[in-house]
Amino acid sequence: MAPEESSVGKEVNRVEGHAKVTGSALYSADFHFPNLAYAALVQSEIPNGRVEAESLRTSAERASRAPGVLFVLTPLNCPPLNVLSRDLTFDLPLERRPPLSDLSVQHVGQHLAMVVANSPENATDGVSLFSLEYVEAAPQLSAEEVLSQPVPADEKNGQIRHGSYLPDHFVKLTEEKLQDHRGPAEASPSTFQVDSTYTTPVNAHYPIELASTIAFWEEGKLTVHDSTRWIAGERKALAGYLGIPEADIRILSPLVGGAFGSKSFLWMHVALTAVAARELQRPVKLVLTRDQMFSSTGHRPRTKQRIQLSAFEGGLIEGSEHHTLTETSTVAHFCEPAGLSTRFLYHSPRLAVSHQVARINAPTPCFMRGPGEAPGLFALESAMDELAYSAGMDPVQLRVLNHADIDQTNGKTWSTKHLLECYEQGRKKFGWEKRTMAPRSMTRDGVQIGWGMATATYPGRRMPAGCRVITNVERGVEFASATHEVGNGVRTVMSQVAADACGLPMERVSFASGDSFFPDAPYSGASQTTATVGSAVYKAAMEWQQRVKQLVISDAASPFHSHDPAALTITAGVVHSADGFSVGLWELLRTFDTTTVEHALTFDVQSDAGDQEKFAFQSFGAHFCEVEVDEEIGRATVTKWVAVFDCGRVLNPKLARNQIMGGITFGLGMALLEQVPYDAKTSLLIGEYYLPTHADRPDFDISFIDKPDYALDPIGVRGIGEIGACGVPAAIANAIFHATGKRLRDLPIMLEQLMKPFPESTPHMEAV
Amino acid sequence: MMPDHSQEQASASLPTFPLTLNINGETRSLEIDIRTTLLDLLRERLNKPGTKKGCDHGLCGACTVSVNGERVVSCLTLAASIDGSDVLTIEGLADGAELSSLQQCFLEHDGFQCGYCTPGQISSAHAMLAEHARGDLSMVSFETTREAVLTGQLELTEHEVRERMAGNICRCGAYANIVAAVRAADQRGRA
Ligand code: FES
Ligand code: FES
Repeated sequence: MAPEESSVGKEVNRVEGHAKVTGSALYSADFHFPNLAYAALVQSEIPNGRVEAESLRTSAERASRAPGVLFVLTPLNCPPLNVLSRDLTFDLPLERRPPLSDLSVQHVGQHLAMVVANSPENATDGVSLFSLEYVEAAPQLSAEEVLSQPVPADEKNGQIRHGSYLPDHFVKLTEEKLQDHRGPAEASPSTFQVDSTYTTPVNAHYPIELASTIAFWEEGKLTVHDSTRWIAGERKALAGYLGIPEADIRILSPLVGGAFGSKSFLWMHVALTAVAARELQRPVKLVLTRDQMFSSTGHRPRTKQRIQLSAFEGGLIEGSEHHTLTETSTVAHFCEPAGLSTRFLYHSPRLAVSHQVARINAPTPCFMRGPGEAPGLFALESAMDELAYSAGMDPVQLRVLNHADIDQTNGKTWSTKHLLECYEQGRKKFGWEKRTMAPRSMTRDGVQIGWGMATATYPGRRMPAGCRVITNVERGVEFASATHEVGNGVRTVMSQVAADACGLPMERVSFASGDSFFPDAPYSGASQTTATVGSAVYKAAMEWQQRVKQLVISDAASPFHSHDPAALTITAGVVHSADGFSVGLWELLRTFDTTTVEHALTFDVQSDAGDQEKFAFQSFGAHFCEVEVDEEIGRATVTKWVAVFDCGRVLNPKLARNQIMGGITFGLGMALLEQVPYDAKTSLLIGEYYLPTHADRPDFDISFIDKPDYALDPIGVRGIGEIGACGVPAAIANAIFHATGKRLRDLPIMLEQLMKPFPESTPHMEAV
Repeated sequence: MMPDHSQEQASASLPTFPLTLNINGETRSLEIDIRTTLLDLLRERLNKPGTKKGCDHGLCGACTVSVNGERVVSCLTLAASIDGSDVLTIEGLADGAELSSLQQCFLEHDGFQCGYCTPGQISSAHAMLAEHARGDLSMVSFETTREAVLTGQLELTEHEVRERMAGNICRCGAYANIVAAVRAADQRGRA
């Protein structure tokens, strides 16, 4: 339990909650400016080829004559945009080719023109007047096609590339090896094997807020309101494209209506909005359509994963192999790092992990909640279930037996690891001991019941970040950092951390985000915000308290004048001296000279990434679920979910549970509903993307081990944004196997697969 | 501040439509582009951006408002088609600084994360509670007793709320908290 005067650990309501329930919370598209113009995009309708210049010209002319149209931007009149630096494009999914820089078409949904008008209706109408003609070329639409066909030559000085490649590491993290092995090359003869192939489809982040931008220029300086979750990266990308200094760009990202990995990296439409605003010398607003969200803000690419687990009699793993084939676009690098956690999740003396990326004629993919782990653990944790059934062992028992006591990739010990407690608590809460092992052995009201489980894991990460402190004797202390409130509760938990470290009640502190004028913070992703920004806020608040103590001992009129600062404590807004004398801090500060106080207590701090050499940092958890399968109508319903997580200290259990529920619901969608419906031949969108609704979610029982990890950061947290989703699809697929006897290895698991008659004769079924 | 399109609109040769709406108790009369949806009208012309656009084609429920007391998705409602109506948006639910009990329950139960679906969830729930109170049935209602179905005296169970709120998508996945908030508001309303 949190001590009475501390804010951390309490179920504090969201600090921006009042604004969110009254509609006064402002997101990027909610801002208004005099003379605002509205943009809409024209996008390509073929996957590969070239748009005819003449059709662009005549379309643009037609649109320009339409009512209210102010400007039409096409490759024919777009001022040349710079190529981004290699640092941004070689291991991050920013495109090598600037937007509207040529007539070649590399995928459906590539920007081909922007129409700007005086109203949204007129802009949309202008777009509808486009009628483009193309010279089509044979596209490569899948990794299989790329691998079986000759590799076309690079184009545009390597901006457009084809073929496939084997990336070395994940983003800028050289230790996260995408090609990795240890131990002997061959499996020991005394083992038995599971050898299965799993596939995952194209998934979309689908934040409910559409990506939105408002750009305007004032005296050569650019201001952009954008629904971005990486202010510093966007500023760098825009400076690169536009050839202006970063200092001349201000990015504002007030509140973000969900991101889940999108709203970052793919900023071509933002750059075009800035260009249009510069040409027109008035503010321009662009809101992507829901369809454009599929092509223009990234997605999770398809994966095909082969897993081989070999184990000795009794279930001890001897070797693990995880080979991933995935896809990126022809204009950007991205690798879905599905095999990363196979390198360390279970004890495995022999290991081989590989990732091959094929460049296809599709939009550029990017990170999506649980990048790597979400599809990767679907494969690994399904394979573990297959191994359990092959060995005739309880799935939890198999995992306990193969628990990894150290990080086998580098020999380091874990900073903290409580995975065994997660299994134990989860199985008790769920009532797992009542599970009968045999598939199809549990029924209720005429439908099959299955109980499945899976391990969850996601790295603990921390990066450098800055924090500003602004003290106002009337209002209180404002902390500010260029991070983003994407629904992760960062404003609330940072306020809690700041309040405790300052020794103030929460009402005296606030936390502001979403402005590039604040000190830099990294992207809001990779579950690192709380550890990263939290460390900066903590450092700033500690510094603030030191400075306050200096003030109260140096002011001649202060009751603590000449006291030893080390003997003073400040809690809940009250200063206490060692001899038991107490004065309210705020009343005291008001008696001092305001300018002196505010000046002394307004400053910036920078925190580093901490010492990450000594330990390996990883969060863990265990999912247990029940699925009802009605085989007559091919419906799987997830009815009950128990999850226990080891993510370090929990700052706000109310918000943490909510975020984990969201993660599990995200994974549930991935398991049973979600795939971007591209037509296999034309690669056009041909349907809807189904998401979990109120009707689809199970009853939740979510809990945390809540043991701090002070080795990663001074507040003891490891982040919870991704881990909720990781392992969920496998837990569901394993429950479906238990319910039906069908081992389904292709996501999403849909009606067709569930209605196939039983038994299905696969080698794995015979092994059971 | 709102952009002034009146000059530009006049120069364009498109038909306009004189529209009068009562929005959150305030009467507004203006000339509109006949293609304008209620959603774009609220957001782009009337400075009421609390109502959100999540899909613009009736899929997500983020744009839900009440028109004459009934919930509609404002992205599929042509403004010209509801001339003379009363519109209630999220901005009109609180009583001054005092939150409505539904809003208060969303806040306490943490019925959101990013908050983008929230105006739609709350507006939808607001109208749904009225539907339920007057005895409108849902699919789920038929799983109860004959008596309850005939009289429309139905308990607002968890299952009922989930069914009746199924048109409002929350990608953040705050569903359980949303249902808890709606049920708590219903209880408070009865108390
Ligand atoms: S914006 Fe109207 S239903 Fe999505
Ligand atoms: S709170 Fe983010 S979509 Fe519902």
